[in-house]
Formats: sequence, structure tokens, C-alpha cells
Amino acid sequence: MKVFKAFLKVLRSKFGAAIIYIVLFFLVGVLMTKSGSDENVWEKSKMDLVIEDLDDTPESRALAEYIGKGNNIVPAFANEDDLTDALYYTTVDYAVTIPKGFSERLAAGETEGIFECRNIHVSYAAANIEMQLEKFVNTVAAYQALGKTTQEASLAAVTALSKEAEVELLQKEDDKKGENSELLTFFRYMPYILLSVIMNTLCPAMIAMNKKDFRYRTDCSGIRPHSYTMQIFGASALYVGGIWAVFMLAGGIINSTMYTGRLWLSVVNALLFALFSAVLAIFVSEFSPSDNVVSVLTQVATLGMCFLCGVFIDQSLLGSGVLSAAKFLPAYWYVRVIRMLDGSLVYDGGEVALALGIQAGFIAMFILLTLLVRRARLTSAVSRRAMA
Amino acid sequence: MFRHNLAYELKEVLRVREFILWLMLFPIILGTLFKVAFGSIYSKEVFDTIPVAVVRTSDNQVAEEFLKGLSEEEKPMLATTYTDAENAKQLLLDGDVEGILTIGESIELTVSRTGILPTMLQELVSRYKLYETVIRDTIATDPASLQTVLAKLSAEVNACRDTSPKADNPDVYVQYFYNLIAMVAICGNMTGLHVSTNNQANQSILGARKNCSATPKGIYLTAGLLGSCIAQSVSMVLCVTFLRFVLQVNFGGSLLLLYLAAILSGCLGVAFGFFIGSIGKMKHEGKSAIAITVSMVLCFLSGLMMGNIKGILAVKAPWVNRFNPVAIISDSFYCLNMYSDYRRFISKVIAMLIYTAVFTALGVLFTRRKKYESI
Amino acid sequence: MKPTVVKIDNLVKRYGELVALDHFSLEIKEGEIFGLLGPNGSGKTTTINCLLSLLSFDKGEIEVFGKEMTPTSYDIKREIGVIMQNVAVMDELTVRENIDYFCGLYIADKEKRKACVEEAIKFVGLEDFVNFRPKKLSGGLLRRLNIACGIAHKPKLIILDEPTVAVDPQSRNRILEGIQELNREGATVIYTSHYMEEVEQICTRIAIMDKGRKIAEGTKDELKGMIRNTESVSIEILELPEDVREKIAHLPHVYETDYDGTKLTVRCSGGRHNLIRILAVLQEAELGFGRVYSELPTLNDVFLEITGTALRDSKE
Repeated sequence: MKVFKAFLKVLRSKFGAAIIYIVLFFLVGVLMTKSGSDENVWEKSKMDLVIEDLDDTPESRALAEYIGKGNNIVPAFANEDDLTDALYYTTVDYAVTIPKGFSERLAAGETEGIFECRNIHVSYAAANIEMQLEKFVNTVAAYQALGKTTQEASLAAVTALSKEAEVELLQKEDDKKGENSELLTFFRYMPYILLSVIMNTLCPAMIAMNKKDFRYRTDCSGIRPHSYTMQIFGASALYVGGIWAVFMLAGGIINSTMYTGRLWLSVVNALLFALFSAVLAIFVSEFSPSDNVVSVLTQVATLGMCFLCGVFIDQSLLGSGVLSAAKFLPAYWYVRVIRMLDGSLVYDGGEVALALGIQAGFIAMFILLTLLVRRARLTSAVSRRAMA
Repeated sequence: MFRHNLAYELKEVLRVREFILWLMLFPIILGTLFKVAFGSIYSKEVFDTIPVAVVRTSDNQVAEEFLKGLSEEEKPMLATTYTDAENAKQLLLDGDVEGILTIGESIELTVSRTGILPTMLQELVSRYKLYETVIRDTIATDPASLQTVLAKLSAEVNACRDTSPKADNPDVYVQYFYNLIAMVAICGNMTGLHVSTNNQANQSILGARKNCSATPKGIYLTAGLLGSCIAQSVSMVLCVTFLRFVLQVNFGGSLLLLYLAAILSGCLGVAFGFFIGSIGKMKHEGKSAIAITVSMVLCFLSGLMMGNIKGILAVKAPWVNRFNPVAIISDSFYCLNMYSDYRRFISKVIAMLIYTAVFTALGVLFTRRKKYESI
Repeated sequence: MKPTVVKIDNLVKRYGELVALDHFSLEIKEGEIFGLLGPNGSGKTTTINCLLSLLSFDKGEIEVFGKEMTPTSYDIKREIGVIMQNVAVMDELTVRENIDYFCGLYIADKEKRKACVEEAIKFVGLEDFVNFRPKKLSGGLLRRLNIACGIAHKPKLIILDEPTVAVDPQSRNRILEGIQELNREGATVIYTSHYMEEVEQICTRIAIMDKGRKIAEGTKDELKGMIRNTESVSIEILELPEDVREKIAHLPHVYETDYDGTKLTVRCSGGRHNLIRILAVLQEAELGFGRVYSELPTLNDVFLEITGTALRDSKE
């Protein structure tokens, strides 16, 4: 158990750095958390909208009232550039300006381009708002045709438009989204941070253990290579388990429902992924890369896997080709479990077990690969000696 | 003397083969992955018809006409499938249609989820309800004008005049590539860090050896920084070239200025590393870990992992975007794409220059020390 | 009288509580090979680093070539060649490029430098390895490269800080001969080591350091003259009655005897026939004995007598 203990001591010095990563992750997590809404009753999607009323007449106010009721009105921006940025990053879906002279043009029956609109992306959200605006113009025109003044017509239009169609929500029985979406958000982004933390701290420790002189000395000692590797795996597992425990503890503090019902599965899911991160780190370290190469490699591995497997971008947005490639990466299966738990996919116990099993398979595969690389290296050393 | 130092600095940087290899491979691999992952997302969001199932429970000519109008326009909003109630339910639950429109007395809407498409369906059905209301009002006041009123109500109007600035490439996913370039740039801190390590007597033996040579510190320090900047610029140019011409990423805006901004951002990365390397007595490994961690946090805040974070920060904490050097770098590319005048691009470039200058100046200030307490 | 090259006056350097240099003074004349001898941690490298203006110090003055040494004294630095204790070369450059790089920090002229580099390569005997990277060199060759990087620009003052640590005997001899050759060509040399044999072999003057202080200085003969010991006689003997030992101890010139059960060591100061007298006593007592040696005092004896501990014991 000497190797086990020595390696744990090396790792202990890395634990502080790992904690810093974890704390950062939680800080960002708090920033990102949006209050999850109850999705089991119908609620229309509201657009984030900026309205600027330059006309300020009863007509324009009526319009603003109508549009405001069904959408989130965002206060106007201090400058045009900020608005443009907000539109680009879709924090605002649409911006509409009611120009001066709007009511006169409306009275004259002019409709062409009477709103000044700004949106950058062609989107359903923008189309929806344009539809609402044009509906208002049409309705006012209709009431004008009935002989009402523009002002009366506007008010009548608002009344008529405020009658919304009722919507029936039909869902599968177990398709109901849980109240746990917030907690599952926490789990969703975890692969990135687990991989980053573990690769960034475990790799340097492993590389220290794999240093030529150190390794030769160990190879010369009585310890069997197999036992040596297993002790390394053991110590790593303990270390990674510690990191995982910190996450779970913090998660439990944020939301204690984590340890109820099906959500236990996400806890197991995270443990499997943490262990996968560890074996990947150990495998990479076998090739004794330099510090800089480790950090670049970590970035490529973590970012690449997280993007391909739908950690950062929802799997539903990724193309089918991407997803079939992602099936060869464990993060895909990790995310799949989370998606089944949060209701994005139909929950199926068998499928969850399969996804967990595949992750376990990846762990076993990388352990085997590591052992193979070690053995290959040892035998090549032996054959060199034999030749000499 | 300076040329001699610069030549060897470049030789040294270029010979660290595995590192250079990774610095180049890194944007190539990630860029390709990004291209594969995001290549087709943006077009998915482009407006398309909404599939719906229509179920008739009684004869309603007005409703039929209304739906016909929506599905047979030049740019139809709906793709209708007429079927029975059972089948429609199945289609809905299987996700083949977004909603069921049941034609009876009126039109009723059934959906299976919340979201933008069901909301649009609700909007359309509300429009039908509006028709009903207006017809009722018309019949109550002036039945003779019904035709005119209905014509007005269903008239095709183009009320929205688009006045927004148009991006050369509105694809919001291109910002992941902006951030990728920014990340490669900020990774220049690795070479910058080496410059301060290799030239300080208390950081490395090499530094001590150089410190007692006949060459003034200013010369080999400047040569080191310039050499790193050149090496970093080369990898920036390669990165942009690969993304633009091999992966065919449309960055929008002037490509020449994009190259310029990329090179400048690479120098900012080098200066950042140089600055980190010059503070404190910590050894190279520790500083390197700090530089990488800080860089990744800055990249995260700039939206490398989650694209919408920049938008969220713009609302919740706008100063973060203003001061985060990585955000400034990626914003400079974005500004080229978004704005036809160079006003904002120039302000971002100036911000980069200021950062580069301040990092370098502080670095020089800290490394300027000629004698050390201990080595 | 030859001009003074290095003058260190009352140098004090503290690391927190630890006093690394305690009022250390030194004067080195042109053409000397000056040895700084002392166990590890005695302050040799600190002295060198202060001399090179790398380290700040608390008190004292340092002059090189008659001018005050400062970090910006580039005209002085140009005439100094430094060979550091740890090999300071760039792993990414070849042997020739490394020498050229460091030489270029002193000599701007390309043609002149080229000649210097070739000469340095020849001087340390690395002709067959010019295109090797440092990582491919053995320990001894690496040390030679380190030296070549320090001397290629033909400095007037060469500072070598333990250049022979972990070097094979062959390379070591080559290095020591090289230093003497440089000295013959006119360079003044400062040489630090904890190997007294090396220092005895090549140095014209020696200062012995211990715990940051200079405990003795002079040529090796002067140093040896400072102590009582002129001859140590060792005799392998398995049985030595106390009365015989007493008799030996009372012989003229004998001032100390040591017996550990197998070997008798007798230290004498002055006198010519010490060995014969001692052997006569043993013969008279009819005691058998094995091998007999008579040794002249070494620098170790000097160190031992002044500090009370052997130089070798205090290593590491």
C-alpha cells in the first residue's frame, strides 16, 4: 500500500486547487440559475421586447398597452449599440419604435412601414411580434371601416385583441417536467467542471509519478507493475471520490431533493463520470506530456467533448450526425441520463441502466488501455535489454 | 545585439515542437468540432411553417377559410394535416405536429408543450377569435360593411420597417468561433510567461546567467517579448486562416481587419502571461496554473462554453464584459461583423492596446529589478 | 605588484535570521587562480552571486577591475565569464547555437563571434557534438558545454562555481587543465569547490570559508604553514599496549596520537625523522605492524584544525 499512500500525499497538495475550481463553478452556477417555471400548465412564451413610443398619442399608448400585456417589456437602452448587442445575443428578441406621426398615418389608413423595427435574427419570436403588430393595425383599420375614429378604433382593437384563445395542454403521463430542472441544470454542466478539475490536478500528479527516474526506481523494486497500477487507480478513485463528494454535498445544500426518488440516479451518474475523468487523466499521463501540453490537451478534451455531447448546447439542437458521433463519448450518455430525468426525453429505466452501463464500460476500457500501455512499455524495455 | 537575441528567441520558441504543435492543433481540432456541432443549428431556427393536425367536428365555413388562408399564402404559416381526433392526438404526442386545431363552433387548440411554436399557434387561433369578435361587432352596428371590414381585417400589411443594423453574418453561433480565436490568443500567455521566467535571475538559472551578461536586461527582455509576439501572431494567422478558408466560417466584416485584430489579441495574450510571470516569487509551474485558470474563467465569461453568458452579463453586470480582456477580443471580431462603421471596432482595438501596454508596463516594472533578495 | 581584479570588502548578506555572509573580505590579483574552498552552505555561491550583482547585500563594497560593481556595469560584465553551478543552457538550442547565443550577449560582431565560438568548441572538446541538443549530452559533456558558454567571449575574469560536480574523472581532468590553460592565456580565475584536491591542484591562492566567514587565506603552502601539523604517520597495528602509546606520545615533535584498535595515527609538527623514531619504539616493544604511511598535511587538515570538523564530514 506504499504507492497508494505516497500518491495520496501527492494528490493532497492538489486538492486546494481543485476546490478553487469548484468554488468558481458554483459562483458561476448561481449567476446562471434562472428560476425554473412550472411547465405542467399552459403558459404562453413571452418575448423580450423594447418599445419606444415617440408618438405618445392615445393610439400609440393603446398599442403599447396591448403589446406590453403579452410580452416582457425591457426598459430602453442607453445607447443604440447596447440594444444591438442585446438583439444579437437574444437577451432582447425585438425592438420596436412607434415614430412620431404614427396616429396621423394610422388615421390616413397608411400601414406600410409605420413601425420602425429592429431585430437581427430571423426567428419565430420576431415573426410572432410582427404578427401581433400587424394584427393591431388590421384591427384598427377594420374598426375604422365601421366608422369609428382612429382613437375609438384603437381602444376597440385593444379590447377585441385581448380575448385570447384558450389552449389545452396534452402531455404523456410521465412526460411531466419536474420541479428539479434547477438542480438538473447543476448536473448538466458538471461534466465540464469534473473533467477540467480532474485532468488539471490529477495529470500533473500522475506525471510526477511517471517521471523516468522515479519510474525506473519503482520498476526496480519488488512491487509488481500490476499492483502498482492498481494502487494508483485506487488512490485516484479516492481522490476523485472526494471531489465528487464535495459536489454532492454542495448540491445537497442547494437543493435537498437531490437525494429523493429517481434523482439518486443523477448522483450515481455524476460518480461514474468523475471516475471516467480520472481514468482518462491517468491514461493521458502515461504518455508523460509536458505541463503546457497537458493544459492544451485538457482544453481540447473537455471543450470538445462537452460541445459534441450536448453539455453546453442542448442535444435537441445538435444534428443527428453529430449525435451519432457523440455516442462514442461517455459525456453523451451522461447527458442522456440527465435528459431522461428532466423530462426532455421519455424516462425509461432500461435506457438509463444502459447509459450508466456504457459509462462504466468506458471506465473499464481506459483502465485496460492504461494497463496495456504500461505492459507494452515494460516488455519493450525487456526486449531492448535482451537485444543488448 | 538585439537582433541576435530576437533570432535566438524565435529559434527557441519554434523548436519547442510539441508545444507549438499543440498550439496550432488546438484551434484546428476545436474549430472542426465546433463546425460539426454548430454548422447547422442556426438555420434550424430560421422561420419555417408550423406543422399542425386539423380535426373537423362540425362544418364551419369561416374557420375552414381562415385556415386555408394561413396554409395557402405565398409564405404559408401552417402545414396542415386533416385527420381524425385519435390520430391527431398520436401525431401530437409523437411530436410530428406542434398542435391540434379542432374545428367546431370555433377553433380550439391543443398543444403538448409550452414554447415559441405553440405560442404562435395560440396567436393564430386568437386571430380567429378576433375575427369572431369583429364580425359580431360589425353585425351589431353596421352589417352592410361586413365585406369591407373583413377585407381590412385580413389585408396583407407590411407595418414593420426593419431599421436594424444588419450583421454580415447574423449566425449567433459564429461567436463560438470568435471566442475560440480569443482563447487561442489568451493562451499566448504560455509563451509570455516563459519570457519572464527565462529572464529573471530568481526564476531560472538561465535568467541568472543572462542577468550577469554584458547585455542590458531591456534588450533581451524586449527581444523575448517581440519573439513571443511574432510566434503567437503566426499561430493566430494560421488559426484564422484555417477557420476561414478550410472550415469556411463566415466571420463577416473585413477579413484584413480580422487578421489585424487577431494578431493584436495574440500580443495581448503574450503580455498577459508576461505580467503574471513577473509578479511574486512563485515558481513557473504555479504561475502557469494561475494563468491557465484565469484564462479559462475569462473565456467562460466571454461565452466560450455558454454563448448566452455575454448577453446575461450585459444585463446583470455590464462592467464584466467591458473589462474582461477575452470578451474585448471576441467583441472586436463581433463588431467587425455587426457594424459597418469602425467606431466600435476601433474602441475595442484601443482597449486591447491599452491592456497590452498596461500588462507589459507592469511586467517590466516588476522585472526591472536588478538585484534579488534571494535566488 | 599586479593590479587587483576583485575586491570584496566587509560583505554582509542575511537571509532573514540566517547570516549567509559575515563580514567577508577578499582581494584577488590579476593572473591568479583563486580558490574558494568550503563545505556546502558555507557561502561560496552567495559570494559569487553578490559579486555578479545578482543578489542584493546588506553591507559592504564590491569592486571589479577597480570600479564599483553594479547591475548596469556592462563594461565590467563584458570582461567576466560566468560558469554557474547549475547548467544554464537552452534545451531547444544545439551545442553550437547555445555557445553562439551566450557569446552574442557579449560580442556583437558576427565574424569575431564565429571565431570565438569555434575556438570555444575546440577548447572544451565538443567538436563531435556541435549539433546535439543538451538533453542528448552526458553529464560531463553538458558541464563542458556550460563552460564553453561562459568562456567563449574570452573574458579577463572567469568565475567557475563548482564546475566539476557530478563529472566523470576524465572530463574533470580536462576541465581542470582547461582552467589552467585559460589562466596561462592571461585570465584571472575564481574557482569555488568543496573538493580540496582540485583546489590544491590548480589554485595559486586559496580562501577557506565556513559559515559565511573567511577562516584562512593564502597559498596552499602558506595555509599549511598556519597549522602545527607537518606530518601525519599512520600505522596499521592490531595490538597496542597503553605504555607503548604513551612512549610514542612523548617522542619529540609528536603532539597528538589516535588509536582506534586497528590503526595508530601520530601527528607531528616539525622534525625530520619522526617515522623512524616511531617505528623504533614499536620494534623495541616487539610489536608486529602492517602498512605504514607518512603523509604531508592536506587542506583538510587545515580546515580540521581551524574549525574542529573535517571538511569531508560536513559535506552535504
